[in-house]
Amino acid sequence: MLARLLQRLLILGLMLLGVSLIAFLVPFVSGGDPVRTILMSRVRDLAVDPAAVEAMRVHLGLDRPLPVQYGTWLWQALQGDLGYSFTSGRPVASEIGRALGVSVTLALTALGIAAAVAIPLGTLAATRPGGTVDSATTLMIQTFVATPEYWLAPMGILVFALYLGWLPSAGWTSWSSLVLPAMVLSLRPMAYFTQVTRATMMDVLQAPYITAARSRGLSMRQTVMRHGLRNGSLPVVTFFALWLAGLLGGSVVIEVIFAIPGMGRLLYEAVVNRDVPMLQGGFVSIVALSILINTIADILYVALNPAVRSGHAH
Amino acid sequence: MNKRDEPLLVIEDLKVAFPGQSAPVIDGLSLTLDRGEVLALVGESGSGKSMTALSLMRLLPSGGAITGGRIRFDGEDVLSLPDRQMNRLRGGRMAMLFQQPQAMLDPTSRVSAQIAEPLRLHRGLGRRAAMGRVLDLLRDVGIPDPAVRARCFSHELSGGMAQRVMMAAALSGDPDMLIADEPTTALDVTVQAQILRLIDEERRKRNLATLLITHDLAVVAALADRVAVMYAGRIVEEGPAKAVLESPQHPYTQALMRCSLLVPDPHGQLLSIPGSGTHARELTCGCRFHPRCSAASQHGLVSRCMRSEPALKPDADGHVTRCWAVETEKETAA
Repeated sequence: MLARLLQRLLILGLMLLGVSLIAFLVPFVSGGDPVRTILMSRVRDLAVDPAAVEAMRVHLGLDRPLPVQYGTWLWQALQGDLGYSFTSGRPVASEIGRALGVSVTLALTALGIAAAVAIPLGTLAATRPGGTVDSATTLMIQTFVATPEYWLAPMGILVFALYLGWLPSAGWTSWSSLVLPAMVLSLRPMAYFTQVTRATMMDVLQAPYITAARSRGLSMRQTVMRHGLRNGSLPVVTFFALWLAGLLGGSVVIEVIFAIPGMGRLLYEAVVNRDVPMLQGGFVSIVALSILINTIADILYVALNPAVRSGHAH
Repeated sequence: MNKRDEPLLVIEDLKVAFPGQSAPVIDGLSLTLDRGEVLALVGESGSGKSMTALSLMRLLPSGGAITGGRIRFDGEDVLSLPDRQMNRLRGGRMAMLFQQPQAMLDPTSRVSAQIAEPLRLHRGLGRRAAMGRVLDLLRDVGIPDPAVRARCFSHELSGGMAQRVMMAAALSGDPDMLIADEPTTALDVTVQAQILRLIDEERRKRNLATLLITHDLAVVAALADRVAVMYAGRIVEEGPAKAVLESPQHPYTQALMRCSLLVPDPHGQLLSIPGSGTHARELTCGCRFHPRCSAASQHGLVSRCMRSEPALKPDADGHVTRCWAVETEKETAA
């Protein structure tokens, strides 16, 4: 068990090292000269003084050989220093920390809503395949999967913010500004979670131990609660983790539309502005966090499934 | 009929069908089971033994439906009971053992929780009282270290251990009837005898009516008071265990006896019945067994056996058989 854990940690370390190298190199490979871009954006002039460019390059340390730059960057990154943003001049680490906090709040709320609806709904649909609830659920799943967020988000703003006036239309000021974006963001994962729960639950309800539980006098409802849900929600744990990792940097559309200062928007702006340290730091942080989340999900999966816990996986 | 005179379980003309299949899997099955009695239900795979057992519990797999007949349990009409009362019957008055004990236990739930369910549902015990009783039950079914085993999950148990746990769960609701559906088929030979002994001990101690489903005639000889032999969804022979085993009437029962190791073949050969078992859902005219029957041709009855199905005909001591050849023999003797 301990050996397995250590092996796992070693692999994680190597993965992170590889990711850091890619994260470091990508802004350079993408072409263009960041120094020129920064200066152009500051002086709003296409004819930038070459001497100024050179001075800036030295100032930012971009004149040194790449391996040296990588070594310095990695060493500092390990100590929690990701450098300074080219555009704002503020420390990358603290910018990312703040944006991640926002994105994690948004993603967890959205996925929480999704799971809270999907698990009961998927279970209900599975107990009566082909029934009214099941048909309605299937329709809902298809609708939610097919509805693009860039359409749904403005519609939500129109109805709930402008017409009804219940919720703020954008920004990140109070808890109420979380509601609308979280709801819009929750629909797609909700559809997938429902689908997964339904499919798993259909299998689980056919399992011999369900018949055995019924033979002891449990009602269908009690059987589902005691013996169905735990077995049926195992795959949702994995899906939840995958979505969480995906939403951390991937809810760009929502964050831009609702003017939410999250990770997606931070990276989007870093790309637009060729903010090299921000891109490197952001990429590494998101990947590291995804790996962490998936590791936690694996541990949770094992905790929920005693057969895996002692190495008896079927 | 008076509740007292009636056997504990009465099955009358039971029919079970799955939609889309040409013939019912159980066709007109009638059986009775008295309190404290052991009735063995014998037959090949697919003859409808397990479906009979699941029908009693009203737990047929999805799609399967009871399309006719009646089941009376202790005077109550099982098939018309509302769901709530049916739940009270299951585990509380009738309990079941299954063929694959490990698959019958929820892999994510502790053994103790599953044994405790009937105690809490049917006996109204609180959590603490139920746990105490679970340990007693585990001891009763011969599990060493009950306190440790109670905390186990199904994958931590051997097949025999799992079946003992299932037995504890079955007994925990203090039922009147135990349905044991091939409880030893999936177990090691050495363990089989232990589990059978356990079932026999417990059913004596508790005066349990037992429906024992098996294809092993040695088991029948050791445990059963009466035997019913099933072929393709119907009973072909039924009677006191001793009578049926000593003088089997139906050609199918005779063939089963010859295949069984109970009666060694004089030439030291392992025998089998020619042809493959007719599944109940296959449509066959006349006697279901005639395509594999040797008696049909010997008695020159083939056309009769092919055309119409014989009825169950009794002889003097309550031994009934469904066979034209047996009937003809009796007529000529009389």
